[in-house]
Amino acid sequence: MADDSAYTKFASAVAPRLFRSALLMCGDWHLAEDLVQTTLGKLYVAWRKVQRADSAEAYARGTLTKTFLSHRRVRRNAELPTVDLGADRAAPMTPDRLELFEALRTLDPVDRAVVVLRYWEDRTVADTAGAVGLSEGAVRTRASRALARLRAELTDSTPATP
Amino acid sequence: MDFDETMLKERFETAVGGISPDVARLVGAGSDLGAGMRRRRRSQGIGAAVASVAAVAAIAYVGIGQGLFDSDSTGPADGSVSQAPTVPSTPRSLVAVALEHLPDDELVGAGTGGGTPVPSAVFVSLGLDTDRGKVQLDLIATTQVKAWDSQPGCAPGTPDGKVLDCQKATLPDGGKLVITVEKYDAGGSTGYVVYSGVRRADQVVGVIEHLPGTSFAPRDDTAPLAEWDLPVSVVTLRQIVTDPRFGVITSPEMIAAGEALEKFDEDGLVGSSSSSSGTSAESSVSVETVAPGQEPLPETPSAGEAPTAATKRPGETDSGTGQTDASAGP
Repeated sequence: MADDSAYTKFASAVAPRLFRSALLMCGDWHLAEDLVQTTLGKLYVAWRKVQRADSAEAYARGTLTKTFLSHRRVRRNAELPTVDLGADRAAPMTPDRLELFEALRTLDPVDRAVVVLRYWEDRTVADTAGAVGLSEGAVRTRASRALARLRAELTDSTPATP
Repeated sequence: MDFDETMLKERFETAVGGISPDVARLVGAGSDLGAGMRRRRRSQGIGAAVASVAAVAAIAYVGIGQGLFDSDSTGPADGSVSQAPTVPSTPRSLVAVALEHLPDDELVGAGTGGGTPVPSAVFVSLGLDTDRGKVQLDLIATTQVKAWDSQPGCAPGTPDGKVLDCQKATLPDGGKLVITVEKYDAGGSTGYVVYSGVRRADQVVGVIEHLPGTSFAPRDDTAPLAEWDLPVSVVTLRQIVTDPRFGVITSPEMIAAGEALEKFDEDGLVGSSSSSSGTSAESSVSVETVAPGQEPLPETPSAGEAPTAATKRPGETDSGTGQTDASAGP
């Protein structure tokens, strides 16, 4: 079916970037996979709406953010799992990666989403505010606070550059 | 060294920029998950159809004279029932009540579908392996009677569906019973769906029997429904929906019986259990998959927990539900 083909093509194109964002948000390879699969499932269901969206990819990224935040609400007692990239995966844990994920873990999940949206996906403050359900002012505040926290975490633990 | 936005972006790029997930697997799993969501929505849409046809039964008793609707065959199926409904139902208790009218060894698995609970409705699916084939039943109980009243009765609950038979009766307790069979042809999948529902003053209950064409073929689909060799007979369906414990409230005994169910999975039928042949309930009794792009059926109550007195109409959504997320998008 043409729709199936179009969906598969779209999903295949956006999945890698969705996965990277998910990994930054949650810090866990397997959970990131779950989040992306759930997101793609939702896109499948809403495919007609996705096609009508101004930006299908932005729609997909927004759906991922909502899925991540919803997951956090549903499973509060399953707070961020240990950073795990999985030994069976093609992405080995490097010191840089480990350090960054550990630093991100110190942030509130919403702050983590804000940081990823703003500084990884280059979303505007307005877009970010819409995605996480906050005011633009709150996004600016959270982004600034989170950046300061990351600055402290990453510069404290990183050997000084010669 | 100052750490600014640019440096953070570089750290992000270094950390995950070169990562390549297994895209084919992600997309395949996502598609399967989406198809499952659509199936559940479709089931829930059928639940709405059950309720709608039940509501129209309030107009009048239309006795067709078939055995199913003989006067002595209406009313609560089991007059010996003494467990007064006093507590809110759960998906598990709905299954427990249904199993009281089904052979013990037929249950393959049951589950709520993993949806987010919606107040005022309880919805659950179960798979059966009967001597007439494997089948999926969806059970629903909801207080949303006003919403159903606004819908036409005996109308198909699926796109392009055709109602082949629609029987109505008034029960001794005043409940309006409707049983219909509908033939559907959606997305290349054909089959039949049998609805059995009761509309009472404060609630609507229903059972939907899915009969995909791949596993069921009536000898003559123009014959009255009572003559069909269904995996779960219309008599049994009627017994389930007229059981006073089958509703938004039930007896403590049924709650306990539901809690004791082993073949139940809150994440849904998929992988919930295996039949003796090792086939999952989902694969055994799956209904047709609606392809992406097909207009979804109206939102209806999804997997549930104990209902409340709140009333919600189809199309309304709860914030934070998976379905709302799925359709609302960013």
